[in-house]
Amino acid sequence: MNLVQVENISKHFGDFKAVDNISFNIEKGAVYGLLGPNGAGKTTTIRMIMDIIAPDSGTIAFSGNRPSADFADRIGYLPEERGLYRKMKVGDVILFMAELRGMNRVDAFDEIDRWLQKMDLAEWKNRKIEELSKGMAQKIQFITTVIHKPELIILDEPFSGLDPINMTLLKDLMLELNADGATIIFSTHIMEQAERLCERICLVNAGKIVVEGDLKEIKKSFGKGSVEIEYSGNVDLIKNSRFVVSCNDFGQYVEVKLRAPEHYNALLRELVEASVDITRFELMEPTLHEIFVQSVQGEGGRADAA
Amino acid sequence: MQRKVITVIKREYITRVKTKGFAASILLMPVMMCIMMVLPSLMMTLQHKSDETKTFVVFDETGAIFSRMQRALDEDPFFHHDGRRVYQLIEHPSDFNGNLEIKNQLNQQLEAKEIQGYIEIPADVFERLQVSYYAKNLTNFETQRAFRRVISQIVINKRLEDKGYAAHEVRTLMQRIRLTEYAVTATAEKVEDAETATVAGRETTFVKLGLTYILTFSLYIFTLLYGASVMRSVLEEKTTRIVEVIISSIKPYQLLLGKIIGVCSVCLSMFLIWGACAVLLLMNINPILGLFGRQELPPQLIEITNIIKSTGPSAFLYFLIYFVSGFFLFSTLYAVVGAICNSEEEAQQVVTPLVMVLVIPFMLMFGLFRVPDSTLTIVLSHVPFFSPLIMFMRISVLTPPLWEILINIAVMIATIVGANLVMGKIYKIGILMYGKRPTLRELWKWLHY
Repeated sequence: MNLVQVENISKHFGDFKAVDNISFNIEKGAVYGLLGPNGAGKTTTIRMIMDIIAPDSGTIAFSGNRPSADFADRIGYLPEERGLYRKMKVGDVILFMAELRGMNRVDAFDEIDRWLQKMDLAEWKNRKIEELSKGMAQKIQFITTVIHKPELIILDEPFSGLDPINMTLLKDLMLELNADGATIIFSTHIMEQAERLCERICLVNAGKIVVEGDLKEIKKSFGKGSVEIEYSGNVDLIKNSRFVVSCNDFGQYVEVKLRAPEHYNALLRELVEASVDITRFELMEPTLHEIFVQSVQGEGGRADAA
Repeated sequence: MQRKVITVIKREYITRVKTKGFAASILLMPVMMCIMMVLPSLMMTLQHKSDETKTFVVFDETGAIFSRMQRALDEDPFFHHDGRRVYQLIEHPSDFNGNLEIKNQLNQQLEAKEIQGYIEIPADVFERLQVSYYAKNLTNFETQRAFRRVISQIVINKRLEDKGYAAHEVRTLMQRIRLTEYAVTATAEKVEDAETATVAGRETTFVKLGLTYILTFSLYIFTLLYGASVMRSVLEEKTTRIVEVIISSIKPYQLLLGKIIGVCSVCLSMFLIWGACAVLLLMNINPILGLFGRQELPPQLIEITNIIKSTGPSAFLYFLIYFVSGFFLFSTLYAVVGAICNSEEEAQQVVTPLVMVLVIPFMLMFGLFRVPDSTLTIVLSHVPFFSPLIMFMRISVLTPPLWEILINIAVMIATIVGANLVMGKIYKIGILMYGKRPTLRELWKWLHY
């Protein structure tokens, strides 16, 4: 069942088209990646899903219904750049955000204690936000996002600026909430993160969808475009082969980009015939990064940042 | 939905009231207000009644004036302080006539602060009426006025006598009339005792002016301070991007409304606390004085407290109406400034014209006080941005007809609603815009989104 249905939404600011006719569906319980370079339209798309700004055209529906104020209480949203009221106490900030999301005070009090305990921040409850370290503040921010047990959690660049320990913590929490039934949308411009966490992705660039769908399928459809070769002998033979587009020498091995995916057999034959001593010949799945660069360049090389 | 607005109001209110700054303002504001009211007049008396005796050298080329000056200074209690003379006069034995040697010597004494100045009274003073005063500092108006008065009197008397008039007779004949002022209001009660009414009429006006001054000053300073507080709060939410989370729960205009109501309540709480303190103080004034070992207030103060007691709730009601409406109008604009800026430094610059709109009527007020029924005052009092200060002042000192006040309030409310509609649009877009501040042309476009 689809929790979120986005249909043909567009949004422009003045002459600038921020989002151009984007559609996708997110299944209940999915971890959905919204990917793209900075300025691709990710945040604008998220803001439209959050009903913060209205699309110029197109519709967004939750479980088939139009978004309502009521539904806002069932969403948890962590915006890209975070901060909290610096002069407020930790407990008060979380309580304020929880009440804004429609929680009643009594439930909120219990949840605040539970989450602070879980995050190892219990003794900070009555301290001011400005006294916290950046990492702690980010944890508090995350608590404010999920305290009201939202069905849908939207995280805009959740890992930016996090140290490795907090990044792992946050990732584990995300997966834990997902296992408990929450649907998660998260946006990032770092493809490796998405690759590890998402089942489905939507790659946007310059306001348009480049690729959308199941990550494994996408990878499959992009084929095995590159080969890693460990060998001893003359590297020029590989470089100069007519099946090779480019060749990246890492010393121990070379990464070779083929002219066409089906050329790997021909290349191997050629090398064997030229008596190159091959110890490893491996077909590589394209990384999301490669898919991204490839698709965007296919669109006319508009990826200025990936 | 309403519950969430209340959540916002509560946050804005509690975070401000819980600070030490709030407690400090409660205590310090009245103190500062008193200092500002009392200080200028205190300075004047201090200047005059300073402990040290001021010494002046006098060249009396007529030979007739010095002794009379001495006597005038001796006789008038105004020139004495704690049994000591304020001015000490020394007659210089020689004539001055611009003698450079004497002048240099006196200037040295001036430099050494042995004397404060010297006065040359030429022989033809009775014809030419010209006296010269030399001192290091010419801004000591009190001293200059004193000498002008004393010497003038002596010269006038001498001239009268020369013409054969008796000076004291002329003075009696020249006495001025007393003008007593009565403020006529529609509700003035019948004056029973003409004599006491004369005194009360005048004092009432002064106390009323003082009260009006305090209230208008509060209107001004609180709008200025707490409007800026609204602005900073909008900026904080914008720069930390909390605002994105909040406005996915409530509409931007609700957030703005909650914010303004919250901050406005902080001000009203302060007024309430001060008002309650003042009422308690006035009601229990005698027991409190008893603590200091006094039976009752000096008569002038009793008069003042009576006038304040008789001022009635209407003045304070108007104060609340004009404070709240002025605050809503200005803090909406302050909020918009916060919304279109990205940092506090930037906002400080942008907010300047807005502050001007507040400062100008406050400055004008001192002049308009004197002509509360002039066309200029009436016109200005109906300009929405000036209304809170100038209309309130007019109501306090003159009380225009009720229909005029009601129209004024209606115009204020219409302006606030209009400003909220227009500014709400800019606010809504501004809080989500980062980077370069929009130009006026872009703001104009935002209104049409």
